[in-house]
Amino acid sequence: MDTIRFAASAFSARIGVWLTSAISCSIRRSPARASFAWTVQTPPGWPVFQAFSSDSTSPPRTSPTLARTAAVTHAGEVGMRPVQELFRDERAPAPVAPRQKPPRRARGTGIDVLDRGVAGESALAFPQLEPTGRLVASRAVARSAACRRIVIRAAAAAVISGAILDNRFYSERPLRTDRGFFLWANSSDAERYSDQGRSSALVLHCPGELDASCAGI
Amino acid sequence: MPAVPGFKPPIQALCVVPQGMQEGSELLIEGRDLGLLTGHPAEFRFYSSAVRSGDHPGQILADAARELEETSLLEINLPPLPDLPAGQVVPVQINSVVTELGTLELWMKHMNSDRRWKVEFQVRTE
Repeated sequence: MDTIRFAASAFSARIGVWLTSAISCSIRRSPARASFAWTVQTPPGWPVFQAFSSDSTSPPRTSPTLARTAAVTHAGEVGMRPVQELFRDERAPAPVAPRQKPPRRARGTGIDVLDRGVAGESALAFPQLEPTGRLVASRAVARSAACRRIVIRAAAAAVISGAILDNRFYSERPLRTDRGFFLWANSSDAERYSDQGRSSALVLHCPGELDASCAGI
Repeated sequence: MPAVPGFKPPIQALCVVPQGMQEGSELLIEGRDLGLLTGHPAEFRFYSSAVRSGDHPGQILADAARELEETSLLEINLPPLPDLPAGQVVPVQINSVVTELGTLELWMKHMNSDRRWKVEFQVRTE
């Protein structure tokens, strides 16, 4: 590898000094192995190009929108599962399971490619790619479905929070008895005793009877 | 009604708390003369209904066993007045209070003195 150094000088009129900076670059003799020093080296762990088996066991494609909404799905499923199920759109793709880590994607390709099912070959291949139009359309559908789900979740959250506020509002109201209560009160000696022979504590009296019984008080 | 052997007389019930009464409020049952048996073991049999919303305090139901559900039973021997014999029926006025704690307090105030008796039971169904 040869290293060529360039010296660049420039006079700064403002500060009146010569500024000299050295720029060095490395050039490899073999064109295939040549890389410039300012080239960002790809870390060895980055699976930039990966080979995929073309069988049908590859998982379904996941768009970034869906991957982002997975967290929303997980957060939303905590408290509003019944409402979610009420408003579930059957045409929308199934949401990512909660707490499921989204699969790692190949980086640097610009296309969302899942790296599961890698066959280990070094050939550059992107199986299961869809035509651009279909890909864009499916992404648009997924994005609109995701937006629709977000809107529905926001509406459901508003309903739930309203219900919570409503409950709090009601709980601050004085409660009312949900039943009416009555007390055994019989009006004569014949009705005064229960079937177990016990007496009723409360007796209905005519005013005359009360006056007579209370005459000695 | 005269006592008839073998005939079970109907149980009458006095409405002390109408359905929907606000907790923390109280009402006085007026327009009805009531007697309280003192100095003798007696029963307070409570009935309730969740479907009778039009009753008013002091209303008498002719057949409680058919129209109402028996909720609880309290057998108690109320202390008599000092100058009255045991088993005497004294005229009282009933003041029913439903507290914020969900208890029903029945205050029975002697009409001719300041003596009061109170029975209390839980009415909140939760």
